[in-house]
Amino acid sequence: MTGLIFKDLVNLKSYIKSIALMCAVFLVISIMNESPAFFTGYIQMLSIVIILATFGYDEKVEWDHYAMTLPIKRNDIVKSKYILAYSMVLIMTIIGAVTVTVVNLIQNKDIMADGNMLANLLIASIISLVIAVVIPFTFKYGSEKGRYVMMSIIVIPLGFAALLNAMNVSMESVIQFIEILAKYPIIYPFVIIIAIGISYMFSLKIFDKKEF
Amino acid sequence: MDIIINNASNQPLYEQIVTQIKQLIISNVLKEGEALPSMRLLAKELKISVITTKRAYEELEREGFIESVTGKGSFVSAKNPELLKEESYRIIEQYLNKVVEKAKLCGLSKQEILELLETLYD
Amino acid sequence: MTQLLSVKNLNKRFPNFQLKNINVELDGGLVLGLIGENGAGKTTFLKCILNMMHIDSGEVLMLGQNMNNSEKDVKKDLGVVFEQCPFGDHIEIKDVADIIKKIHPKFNEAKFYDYIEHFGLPRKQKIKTFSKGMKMKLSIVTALACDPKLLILDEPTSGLDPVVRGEILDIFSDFVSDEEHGIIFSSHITSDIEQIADYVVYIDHGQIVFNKEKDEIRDNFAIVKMTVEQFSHFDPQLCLGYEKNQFGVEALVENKSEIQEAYPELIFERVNLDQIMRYHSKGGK
Repeated sequence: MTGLIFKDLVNLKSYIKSIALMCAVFLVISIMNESPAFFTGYIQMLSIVIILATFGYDEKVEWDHYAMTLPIKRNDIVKSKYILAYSMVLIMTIIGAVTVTVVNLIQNKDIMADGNMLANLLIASIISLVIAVVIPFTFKYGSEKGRYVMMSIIVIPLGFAALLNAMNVSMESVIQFIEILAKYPIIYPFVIIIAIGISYMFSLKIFDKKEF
Repeated sequence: MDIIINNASNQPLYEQIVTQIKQLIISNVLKEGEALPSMRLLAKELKISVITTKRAYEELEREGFIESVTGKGSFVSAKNPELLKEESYRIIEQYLNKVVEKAKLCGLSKQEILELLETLYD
Repeated sequence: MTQLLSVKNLNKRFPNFQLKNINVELDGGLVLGLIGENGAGKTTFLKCILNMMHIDSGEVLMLGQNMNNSEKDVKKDLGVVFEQCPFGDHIEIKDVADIIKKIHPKFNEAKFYDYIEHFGLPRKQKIKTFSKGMKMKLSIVTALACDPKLLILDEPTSGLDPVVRGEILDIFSDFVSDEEHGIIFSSHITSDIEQIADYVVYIDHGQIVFNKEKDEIRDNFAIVKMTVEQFSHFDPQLCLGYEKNQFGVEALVENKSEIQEAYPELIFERVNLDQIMRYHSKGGK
């Protein structure tokens, strides 16, 4: 199973280079605007973009067909995707947290100031949930449809919010809702773990039944 | 050692091999105790199946022409004069059969054939 | 001697297609060639025995074991090669070794690089620069480096030039050098099957047309050439398929010697697998 993750990383080699460039760009923007949000938001997005890319690479060369002939279990293939995806979320969250801390310290502010740390954790949680939905979907329907789902999940609420904003509908209730969420960050881990658990079980079942 | 498969022949492949190896043994091209090529090598070179060469070797062994030692291969058996004579007899019988057939087709009588044989033999 | 593969009454249904009552066996030391038109079911059959597809009924024993129970165990001794090379464009040969050694317990890195060297595959180039032949060699080398007992290959020589095909067939011949090893391969290049197969399994529309020794086919199948007049007297039961041309009729028969005795005046010719497939699918036209 380490081999599978390693294979994904090797496939990503050249992709990572262009991503690193974008990261640098966002980092600069963040620094210039003195708002780490651009950077932390972007890198969290990367987790899901990258994991979908690995599915895409696999599909292109029919890797799964080949993997089915190697001495590994079907479960291992599913496991490797989850480990890769959530390791990335974790890494991005930590990088984000470090960035926020550094920026805040430079500005002589408290670590939790401006809600940036909280935003980092919130986005990490949301991305974790999105991944939990997208992975089983991708196992069943392929990476292209998985990409559409990812975009729908992210774009639709944002678009909806933008629409409301444009129509000058009060954002009060939305902001209140977000504030409630922000009050109890302690529940995030539980919700996320349960979501991942359910997602993982679905993925195992889907992949087990899959015909190649 | 030459073995040629005749694709135009009606004789089954394994039989062709058996016949040819017998010839080689009888004519002493293959000497007593000499090692035969492995079944696999023969199959590969002649582009036929190892099942066929195996069948041929098994028949040769059954008829006492060769001996197979597991792990070592197949070897020409000690020449058994009885056996060789029997085999030569068989081959000549086949030829004679053809002669008889042809003779009948051409309308030659048995007497005429016997006379021809006498002339040729002396 | 191990029985490498035993398939009994395999059935698998699809919306538009069905693999029906497939029975196949392969003993060690032998090569089984699968022939059939595109879409006949060759690849489907291979996927079914590999548990890539779930069969509806039947029993598959690979290397004596049931895939459902000991899949991981069995696969340690399998080497499988598909037409599509499973390594991405940006991967290099070194990466292949690094990936597979982490996955396959029997991967022999030294052997892998030996083969790579032997076939002149470039170590430092990305796979996207490889030709089809090179990619296929890489797939085969990777499989061989894991020391498999049974090699399963789907169209391993398709799209390759005759020289490369010859090289690859030689590799296969050498692989089956003892009773512990065997090969199953499908190909529509029937001359390759004719060269190294011991058994030929002909699949058509999901069913086995015949499963015979290659040399048996060679000895017993024939094309009978006759005039239209002669054909009208010819027993239709004996004919597996025929073709009328402007100057006569050619029919495919299976019991050459018997039929030759019955019809000594007719002309009999050796037939190759291509022709057998063509006449079979024509039936009577």
